[in-house]
Amino acid sequence: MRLRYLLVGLALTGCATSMPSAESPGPAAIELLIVERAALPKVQEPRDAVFAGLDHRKTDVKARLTTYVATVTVTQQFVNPRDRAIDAVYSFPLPDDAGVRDFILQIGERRIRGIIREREEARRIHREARRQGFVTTLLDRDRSTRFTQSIANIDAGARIDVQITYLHGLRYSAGMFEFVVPRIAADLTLEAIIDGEVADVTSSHPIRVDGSKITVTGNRDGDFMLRYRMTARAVLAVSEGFFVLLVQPPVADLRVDWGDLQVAEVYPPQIPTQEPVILTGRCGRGSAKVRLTGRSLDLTVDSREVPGNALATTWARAKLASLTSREEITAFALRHNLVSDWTAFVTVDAMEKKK
Amino acid sequence: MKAALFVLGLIALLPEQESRFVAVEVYAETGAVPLAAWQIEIRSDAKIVAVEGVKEPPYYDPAALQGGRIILAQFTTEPHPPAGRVLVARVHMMESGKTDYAARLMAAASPGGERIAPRIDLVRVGGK
Repeated sequence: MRLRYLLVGLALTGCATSMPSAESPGPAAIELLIVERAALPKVQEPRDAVFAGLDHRKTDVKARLTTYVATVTVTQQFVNPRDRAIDAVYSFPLPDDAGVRDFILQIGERRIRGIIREREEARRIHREARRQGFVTTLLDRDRSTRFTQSIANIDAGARIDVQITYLHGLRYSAGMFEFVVPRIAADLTLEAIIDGEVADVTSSHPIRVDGSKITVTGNRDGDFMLRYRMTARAVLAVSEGFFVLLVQPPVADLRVDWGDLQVAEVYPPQIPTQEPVILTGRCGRGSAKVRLTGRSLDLTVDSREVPGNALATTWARAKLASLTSREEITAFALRHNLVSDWTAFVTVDAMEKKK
Repeated sequence: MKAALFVLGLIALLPEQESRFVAVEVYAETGAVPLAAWQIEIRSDAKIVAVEGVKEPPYYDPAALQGGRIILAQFTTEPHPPAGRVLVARVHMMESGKTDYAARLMAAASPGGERIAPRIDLVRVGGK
């Protein structure tokens, strides 16, 4: 317990956006684990001249669903089948509002975290490391939803794992939230832990329910989709000084009395009228109550602490979308570890040069 | 004037100093006390280009990076974390010219949550 207090202290001294919390399952969270063959990014035409094909071994997808936010970690495993070092470049789409916040390169048993940099600087570092023969990666995006992954100097026969973590809002349709993993290949194993706050859980693939745990196995093709309804009229999730308030369905003349929550920088600035109503912002720490009023609505909602830093990234992504100047976007994305039009993740393994 | 232009021309012809990629290992000397959590600041003119841990890579503070500092932190819930001279991180850097490194312990704790003050050493190992 004392260790936990110290960790909170560490987070407060400067690592709030990156430090993991000592995790325990939150009341409004669904844990979802998909292993073995899952979404397979399509290898694109080479952007660099020295591209050669990699053997794609597998893709693992793990996701955690908190209120309407999906935190997705995709791990792709490649092997260089050639008898010489090669480079690889491929691109893949992510949801419109996806915020990529972490990148890890694994070479053998060594796991190396990428660093967020201004995009042109990241490209310069990647080019120079590649020229000098170091294993290096660059993750950036050319257009709003298309990301490009470049990996240079993969030794003959070497295995490389590339892990990306991103967040996005779930699709909402007719009162149901939808989580989609595109292009499931085969041999999908899925484990989901769902608490009592959701109902009408359905899936595009057959599921086995064991208490709060859901498992999907078997050979499947096509997109995987999990759909569920949140039973609560409203949810107020808080974590590490950030909140997400979700109200469904919307009501006319909705007003929010924040009480003692001490909110700031709320996005969107105006309460939306389309469903579901989702507001995110900064807030004070500790438990709180907010009061929602509107036509035929008078409801007090207790805050619920949720694990991890999904809410911080959700807020940062919302604020990033509201910024317009390149300078503002770059500075904010660098401060919050997010890939944007002007920032990218770069990784150089200074211990490994191609042979 | 001609002399000044000549000197400028010579400077322009000089090859740009090549960047070096090196790794800097970060050690914590804890004595007999196991190390469960730590936070360390590193100051250097070099650019950090990746960070590596023993099992999982530590987290870094992106806001501190913008101020030219590197703040790394990590914790473990393992029942028996290592003690003695513990390699806590390997920081991959891009150097240009002579580069100095300095480290400062910000916080550290044992598995029981007691604050400890291990000595921090940096060892430059990369740059093959």
